Amino acid sequence: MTRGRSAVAVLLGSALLLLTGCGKPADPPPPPAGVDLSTANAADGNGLWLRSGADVTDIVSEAVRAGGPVHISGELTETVQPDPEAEPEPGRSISIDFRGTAASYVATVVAGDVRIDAVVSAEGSRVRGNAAFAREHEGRDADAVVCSDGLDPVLADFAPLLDPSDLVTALLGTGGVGASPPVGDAETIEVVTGEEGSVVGVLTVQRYGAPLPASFVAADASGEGELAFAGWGEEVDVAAAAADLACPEDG
Amino acid sequence: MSAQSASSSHASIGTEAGRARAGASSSRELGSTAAVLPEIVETPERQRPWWLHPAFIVSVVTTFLALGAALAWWIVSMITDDSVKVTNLTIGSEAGNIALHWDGPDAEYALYEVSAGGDVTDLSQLVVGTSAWVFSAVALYDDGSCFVVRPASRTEQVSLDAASLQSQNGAAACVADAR
Repeated sequence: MTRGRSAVAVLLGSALLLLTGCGKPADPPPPPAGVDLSTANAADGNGLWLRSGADVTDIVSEAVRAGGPVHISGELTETVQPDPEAEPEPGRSISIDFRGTAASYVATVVAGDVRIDAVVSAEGSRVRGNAAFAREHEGRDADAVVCSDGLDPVLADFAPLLDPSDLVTALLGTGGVGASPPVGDAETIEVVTGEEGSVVGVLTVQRYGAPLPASFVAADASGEGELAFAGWGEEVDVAAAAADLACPEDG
Repeated sequence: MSAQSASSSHASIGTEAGRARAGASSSRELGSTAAVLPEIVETPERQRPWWLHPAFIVSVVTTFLALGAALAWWIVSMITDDSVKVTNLTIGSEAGNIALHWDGPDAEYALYEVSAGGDVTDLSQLVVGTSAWVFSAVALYDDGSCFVVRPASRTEQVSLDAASLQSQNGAAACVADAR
């Protein structure tokens, strides 16, 4: 008897729900986490300043990856402090001249007294190092071009300099990164890396469209330097550069 | 009265006016034989046609009232509900950001980003009138994303399905179409 009654009640309840046309409204989708869009104005630019921390690094790094070929040039100098009492002095410096993308590029890297010229494309890689390079890498001769079908393993030693996206990630780090809102009519916005009060570096990126870097200036206790990012999207003639680095068997 | 008295008495010789009559009954009836009050006759019941029956009239009136209410309801729902409809949704790129424009009355609209994996994010804060600009460098979308615009009053599940969008008076556009 009671069972029959409860069954009727269930039937009535479900019929009521059906008649009202809905059970429960769907949960409203959440707004994007960690971003306050209420005061943002899309006319101000690409909105990078709305994010902070590792998100900024990821967004810039992704933009660089999608940005195509680039010409990166500049020099970073380590500051070394042999012992806590001594004055800091400039240590090794890394100089880079890189054209292309992570997959296809022409690059010259000088790290300390080691210098390499590298041409990498889908066809393979050609690397020429100087005497210091030959000392550090067994089996390499000074000023001899080494051609390989795949990626030459010695190039891994120069990571992340030879991948623009990784380079930007390394420069910015994942800690205290923040983009400052655009000021006036400036075409760029500044991405500041470093903890509050101790700025490690400033990366200037495009204000409109993809946040492609324009320059990086670093100045802190561990080093100083300046990198320029130019010629976004301009194709690099890797074949011509490869002709300059002729493989031994070619000629 | 006099005529009645004349008719009730028989004319006989030897009678004169003013002389008392003998032998003849002079007693007048006390009551009047004529009917003074109208006779009460039962009037025959008038047969009313069915369309004049009160119950029928009441039912006709209530029927028209109900029809009028239904018409008013329909008009109101036409004006309030169906008028908020998103049409001609276009997606493009303006100053590096995604720009969405659509046609519709001055009303509240909701904007949702649907990722390629089906995750939905509420971007309604970016809606300005019948336009919305979506920041390109805030990781709000990627190349596989689509945007859904619909009246803000809708609470159904956000979907890119054409039939659902139509029933919600909404529209959708994908980032892939912006370029």
